Amino acid sequence: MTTDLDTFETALLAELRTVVADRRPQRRARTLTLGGLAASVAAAVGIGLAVGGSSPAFAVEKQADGDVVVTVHRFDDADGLERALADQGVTADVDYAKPMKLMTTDGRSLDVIPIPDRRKTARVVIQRGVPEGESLDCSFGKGGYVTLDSTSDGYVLTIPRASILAKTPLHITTAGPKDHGTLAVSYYDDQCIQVAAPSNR
Amino acid sequence: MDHDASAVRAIGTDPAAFEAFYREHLPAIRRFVARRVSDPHLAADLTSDVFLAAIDAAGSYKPDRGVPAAWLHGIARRVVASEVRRQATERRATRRAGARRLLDADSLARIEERIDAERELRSLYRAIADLPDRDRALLELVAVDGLEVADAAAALGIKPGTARVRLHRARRRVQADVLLPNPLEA
Repeated sequence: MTTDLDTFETALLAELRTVVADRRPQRRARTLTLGGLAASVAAAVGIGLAVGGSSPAFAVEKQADGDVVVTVHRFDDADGLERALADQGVTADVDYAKPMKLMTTDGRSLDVIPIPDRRKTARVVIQRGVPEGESLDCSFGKGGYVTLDSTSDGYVLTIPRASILAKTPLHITTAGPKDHGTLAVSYYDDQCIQVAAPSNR
Repeated sequence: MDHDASAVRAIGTDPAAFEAFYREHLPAIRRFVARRVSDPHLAADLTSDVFLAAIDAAGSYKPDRGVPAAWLHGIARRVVASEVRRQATERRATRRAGARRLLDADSLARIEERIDAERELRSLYRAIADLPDRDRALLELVAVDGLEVADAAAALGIKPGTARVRLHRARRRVQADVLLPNPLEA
């Protein structure tokens, strides 16, 4: 059957075809597992080595479901992380040199990231520039959220497949005073921000 | 039937199979969405959401859940219903990642025309909103979307006989409402 498609419907078709094409490797991985092979769920596709250092500054892994998981061990080799993410289709501006300034709603700068009692890690979601009483949808539809966690291994940033397909640019930076070692990721024009403080604080 | 089943299952993994499915069912989904929402941007997002949900569900398609068109209507109904629930809690749904970003002026105008053309059926859709869930689902597919009772029953996983009983009851309950002008559509 031929249906006349307008510009929108043609663009949507192209995008949905990509979604379908991207699902194919997933199926192959499942077949391998069923065949009795110990297929790993994630293949390491990018590892950053700090200049003169011996341990990687970051790792970028693509999961079987299309999500991309980034582990940041140290704030080093921002350019390398940008490239490794670009290889996975993620547009990201990584800049550890300029910490993101966090402000409270009444305009004071936020120097300390509040960590709830009984928790060693902090995960804070901030919505900036949103009128009072309104809330912003920081999700990617059913595709979930960008999440940032602090672990003993470093920061773990999960970028959902839906965000990658939507080509949502991410901004990855430090936040607050530099020596606090706080990592922040923001998107949707810096309106959705997630901040994680180090787990050993 | 078997041919239908394998064609539907293929849309989750084969872009060419998906394109054929999309071209075949897009006209129905255009109407389906225009009969339920009056915001053209949301209509664009929902059109995309329906096909994305179909891609996700394709692997488990079984012919006893109705012919492909009925199966897709069942999916579309769930997608739109969950969007309506979502909107109730989020006044401002800023869906920048949604398909609306692909809209140009001409496509937007075409969606608006369709929304305008479906005005009457949209007021019927609103009129049946207060029915109990299971009755509403059935009346929606039959009265708003024009599905055969048997297909609608299959899409919802109920027996045709049960469907006829529910339809009769639902029709009786909404009769009075439908005759009233809908203030939201005036």
